[in-house]
Amino acid sequence: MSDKELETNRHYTEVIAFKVQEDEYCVDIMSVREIRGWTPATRIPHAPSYVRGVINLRGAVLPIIDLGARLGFGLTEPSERNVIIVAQMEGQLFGLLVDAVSDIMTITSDDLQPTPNIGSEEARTFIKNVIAREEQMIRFVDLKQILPQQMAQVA
Amino acid sequence: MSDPLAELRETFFLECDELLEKLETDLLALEQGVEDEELVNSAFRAVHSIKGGAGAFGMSAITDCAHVFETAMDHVRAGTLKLGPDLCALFLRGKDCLASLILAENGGPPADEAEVKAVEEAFDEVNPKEEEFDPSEIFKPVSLAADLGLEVEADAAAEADAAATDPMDILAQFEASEEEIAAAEDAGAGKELVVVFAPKDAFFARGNDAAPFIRELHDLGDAEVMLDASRVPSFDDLSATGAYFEWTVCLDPSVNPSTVEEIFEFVEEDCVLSIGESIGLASEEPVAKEPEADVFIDFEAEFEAEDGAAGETVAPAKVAEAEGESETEAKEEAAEPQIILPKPEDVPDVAASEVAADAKPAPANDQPKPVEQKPVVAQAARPGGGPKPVVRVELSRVDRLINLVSELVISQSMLSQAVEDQHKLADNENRALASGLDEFRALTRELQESVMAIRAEPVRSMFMRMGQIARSAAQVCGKKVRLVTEGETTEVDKTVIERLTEPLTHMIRNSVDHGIEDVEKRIEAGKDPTGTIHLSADHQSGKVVLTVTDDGGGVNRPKVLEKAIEKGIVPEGAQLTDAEIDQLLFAPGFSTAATISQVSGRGVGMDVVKREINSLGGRISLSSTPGEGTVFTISLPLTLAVLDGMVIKVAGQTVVVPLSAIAESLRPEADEIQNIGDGGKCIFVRGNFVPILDIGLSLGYREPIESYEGKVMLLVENDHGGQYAFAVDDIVDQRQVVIKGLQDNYGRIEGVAAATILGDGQIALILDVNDLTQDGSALGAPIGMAGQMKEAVGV
Repeated sequence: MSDKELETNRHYTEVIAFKVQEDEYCVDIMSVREIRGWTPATRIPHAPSYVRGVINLRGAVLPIIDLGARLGFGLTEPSERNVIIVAQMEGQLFGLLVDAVSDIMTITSDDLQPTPNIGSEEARTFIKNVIAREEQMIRFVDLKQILPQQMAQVA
Repeated sequence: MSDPLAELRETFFLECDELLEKLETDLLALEQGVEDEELVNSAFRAVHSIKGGAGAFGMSAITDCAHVFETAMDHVRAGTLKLGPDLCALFLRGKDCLASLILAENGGPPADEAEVKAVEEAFDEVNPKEEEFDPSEIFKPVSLAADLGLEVEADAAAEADAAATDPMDILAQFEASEEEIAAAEDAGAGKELVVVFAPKDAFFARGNDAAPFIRELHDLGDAEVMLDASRVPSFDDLSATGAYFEWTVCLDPSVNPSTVEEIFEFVEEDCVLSIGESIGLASEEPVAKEPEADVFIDFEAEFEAEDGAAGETVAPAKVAEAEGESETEAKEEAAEPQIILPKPEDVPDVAASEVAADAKPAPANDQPKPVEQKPVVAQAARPGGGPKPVVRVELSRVDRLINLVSELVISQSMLSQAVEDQHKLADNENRALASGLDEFRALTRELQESVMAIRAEPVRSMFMRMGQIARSAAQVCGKKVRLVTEGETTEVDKTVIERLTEPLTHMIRNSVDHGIEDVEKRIEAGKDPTGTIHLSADHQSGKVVLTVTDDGGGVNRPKVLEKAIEKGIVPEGAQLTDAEIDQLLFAPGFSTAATISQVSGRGVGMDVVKREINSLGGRISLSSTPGEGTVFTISLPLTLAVLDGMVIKVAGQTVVVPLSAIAESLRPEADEIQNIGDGGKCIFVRGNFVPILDIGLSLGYREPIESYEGKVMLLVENDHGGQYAFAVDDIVDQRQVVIKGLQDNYGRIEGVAAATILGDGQIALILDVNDLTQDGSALGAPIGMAGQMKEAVGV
């Protein structure tokens, strides 16, 4: 959903903010189905390293993406404190492995700033906007870009 | 769906499918010489309904075709057309035409106009012109007399017999002899059409009045009305809402009884109506419809049992099959709600034998097949059994239910396990808990089975389609072929049926094209000029077994071998056993037809059939006897939702290997493993060198290992017959697993077919054996020489 659409459709967007490593990120609450604790995943052969495997979500096979690894911070060492944000995009369900969920916030489209033009092309692909809040930066994650190629094809 | 008309159209097409199916069942039964007027009536009604529906939607092509069809059927009904094999064939062609026209309307490929035209013309040709009627041809005094005579006999046999003779039959006979009656009247026979009309309480309760009905009868011509008020009780017993009168109306004999029926059509339920002739005793013994239906259904169930016995004497080779069949069918029948009705014990026996003699005048030894066929036909064609109530449900809802129930089964087993671990259930105080858990388990299992059954549907519709395929193929090849089906009620998962249709179509075409010989050749060989293809379905130990049997020439082994060598499938001079040669038919790129015919040989071979069946988790095999024919046997899982798998451990991960692919498991000694070149290893099993595939490596779970010592080898076979030894760490268990798709949320994974959830809630991947063993795949399957050879030979 582009900024323009956000503006015209609704002024306020609710987002779920969470932590990966020490940084804060957020996703649109409308694409989040549930939040659950970490359970060991079954490895998928020939999958990129940030795809941690699949877990059983009440009978559905849920692929888990290690967001930290996806963003290039290296593999997360998951423990029971880690959480999985179950997100849905175009009918496709997947889990994001993050460190902790911190907040639910209401933002307006005015809060959304374009991602600063930093050197890393990759970062700009995954982070579509940034939000300033209490002198902290919250990164708005583009879920579509997060999915590995193979999964994006499915969606 | 927003457009209401579109929704109606959809319903119409669905109905058409059902009607066409029914029509085909009836026509096939008629073709096989079953003489039953109700079949003709039922077929007529089907065509008529299609015509009506198509008319409502302005589908003129269908209406036109249905019209000529219907006209011809009506003539058969009236007896002005004799139903012979030629006419039956024409009817079947007509049905195929209708089917293709309907398909064309429903977004399918356009119908073959030339064929439609040809069929319509053929119908026009056979339809007699009205003025050519010869009343003497349709004179049927015997059957009339028999019917009337039976009605007065009060014993059980007669009652049952009358029941078997559906009211529609009697009606049809009346219609048939209408003209004859008119002729008889001229001669002063004094026959009259007698209508006895006795309203029930409900008739008046619904606000009806008898007078308008009597008036309508009057309008049909001269009518003499008599009122029977003898049932009016004394004033004290008189109920204000009671119905006590009975009218007897004598009508002009030229009045068509069906017209009378029409008048009473809407109050049928609320009155006792009998239409008969004055010279019989019909009016004294009114034919009440409701009780008949009861007796009829009982009779039907009994008839099936009887039929099993008939099969025994007629075709000894089929004894076991026929008996099993009829037994299961009888059981299935027993489970249907519609036959849980009072069962007069003495009736069915007499009825079964009497009617068997009555309804099938054709000598049994001439027509052994139709005898076997009969129960299904009778069941489908008779309106007496009444349609089963059906709910149409979106498939996705059912799938969701199945998914949830599978989960329930898994969590049930998890719960049991957890409770068992926590408490020692053997203790007395925990007995209630233990028995509660047992009950829970039993219930979840039952629930799972019932839910799975929702997806199941009988193979009948698929078999019907095969009949059409066989006919058109036979026509193209200029051969005479009869398709005999058996076990149409066998239920298989809907998806299995859908995906099986194409391979089966190909197999039937193949059987017609390659299996059955030309007419001259058959006569030369002393066979029936008409070849028979036997298509049967049956449940065998948790599997569905389909067989396609032809009585053709069998596999021409020398020719097959020659072709295989020519195509480089087999090296020259190779010595193959008969079984190995037969297997060559499944080899990719093999086709024995000398010329590519229109029917088969469109570049699709039996290898495609085999691949498709393998992908369904099934297997196909064939056996052939020269000069006698070929038998293809397909065995399939009952549902695609579960799979028999072997749970194994490799590199710390738990994976499932489909049991259907595993030939055996072994723990080889170090000296049985041989090196081939760089890193390639193979194992010596009973004289063959089988390449070893390290599953841990193939799946990318671990680096290549130095030695396979202590590993377990699973000897697997892929669809192309190639053998491989899968090296795994350990075998955990062998169990049924519920298949979960990975496609929806992840996508395809090379080497992995699907996933499943184990008892501990963890996901385990199900391996795709074909993918893993693909030659030159990205997985780097090492292919040894032995593997290539074996694969080539296809053993």
